[in-house]
Amino acid sequence: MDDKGVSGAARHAAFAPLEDGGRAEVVARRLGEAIALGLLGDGEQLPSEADLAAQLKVATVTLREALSSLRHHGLVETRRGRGGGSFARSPAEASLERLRKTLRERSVHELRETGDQHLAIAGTAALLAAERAGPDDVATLHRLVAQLESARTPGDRRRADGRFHIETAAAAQSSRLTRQEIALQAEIGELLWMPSGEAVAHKDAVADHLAILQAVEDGDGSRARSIVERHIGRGIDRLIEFHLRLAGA
Amino acid sequence: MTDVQGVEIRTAADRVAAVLDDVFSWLDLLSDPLRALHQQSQAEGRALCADELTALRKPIFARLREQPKLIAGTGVILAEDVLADRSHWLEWWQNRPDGPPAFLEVDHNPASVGFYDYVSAAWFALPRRTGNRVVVGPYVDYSGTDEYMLTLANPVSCGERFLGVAATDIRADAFESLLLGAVGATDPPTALVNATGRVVASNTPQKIAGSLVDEHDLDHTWPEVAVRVSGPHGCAGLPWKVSVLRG
Repeated sequence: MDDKGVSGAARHAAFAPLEDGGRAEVVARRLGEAIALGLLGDGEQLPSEADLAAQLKVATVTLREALSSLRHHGLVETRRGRGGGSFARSPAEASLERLRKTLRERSVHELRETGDQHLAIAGTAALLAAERAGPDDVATLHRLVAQLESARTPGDRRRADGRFHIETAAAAQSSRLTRQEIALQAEIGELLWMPSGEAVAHKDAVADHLAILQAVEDGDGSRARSIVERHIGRGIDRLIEFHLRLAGA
Repeated sequence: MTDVQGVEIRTAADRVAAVLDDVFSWLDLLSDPLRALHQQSQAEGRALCADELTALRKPIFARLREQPKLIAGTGVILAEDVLADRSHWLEWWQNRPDGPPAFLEVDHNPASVGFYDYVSAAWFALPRRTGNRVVVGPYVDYSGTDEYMLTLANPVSCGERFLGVAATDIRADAFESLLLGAVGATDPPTALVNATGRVVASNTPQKIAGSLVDEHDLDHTWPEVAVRVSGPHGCAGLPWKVSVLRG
């Protein structure tokens, strides 16, 4: 698949009806991901607003709001007049094509294996951090949650997200878990924070980190572990979904 | 409590203090040539270059050889405006069990997830801010040495100007034999605890190195014995204490 020639199946997936409510944010996310993944190629024209709203099963006003947000992020360009309409604009980041290729080529099994290992490492790190984190560790984790919250670029978000998990393992006082967490972040960090294709929405990631930190501060290891597991499972499920969309395109 | 056991705990605290004192006097010795190099380059109307720090290798290697078990690594870490050719640099050598010392390679790229962000590390930031020496740890030194470590650091200044820190890493394990040399495994459960309540070493599996202890864990029929370091200046990160835990 190249950026221009996108199969009907991929378009179909991008424009499939949304089940999870007709919020503009959800619509923008769905279309933004399809553009980031290259399922909607650079310069490709989107269906008319009325058609697109009908396909997605959302109100036209909701779709307009979503398109306006995509325009704001430079993912959609709208031209007026004859030959006008809304066109997909691929994000400019140089890393994007490489990440699409990685995601397309990595198998579901490999992604699942990475996810399983990450569950084991990060889950245990959170469990032990709840028992062993000192006030300085907790302060560092708070700083990293704030850093993720204020991060705007995919690179800054990836670093703040990765550092949070790495510092959680360090707060568990375990060199081995920390080393493995670093290796895992190097392996999937970039995939989780693809430009305009974030596996876990930024604000959900912030909320998850905050909940993990709260459990660590409360000394509640099993809660910390289960929130981390849910958080990581979420990310891997989305990467698998991205892979399937790319592989099927 | 018997007198004999009280003496053992005091002995353990004194041995730990002697090790800390010894490291801090080494750090004073290491600070002098760094300061001298800086002064010399200033006198020549220029800034110091990274490769001039190789002059520190001779004393560093000698020190590492002297203490192969205790000292994991030592060297100097520079403030961002000191070297002409590097804004992020350390002249740091690690002891290896067999063979000559190894230069510590770290990630100097601030955009990388593994960036060695020493400027915000407590052992760099605290001496810079307070002008005092510091004991930090035990902690997982994941972007430096990858080990469970304690770091002792001295600020190095030239007049008002902060040049960096002279520091030494000690593996947390090293304190275990120090403690066990004075307090046996069959004695009451005893732990060397840092200022934040983290166990540095203990003689009991119930609270091992890295775990936290609080008031409820202590056996208050025993006094807590502070580790007293000498010297005229304060030291952040202390006092450490040797405490007897509830059985």
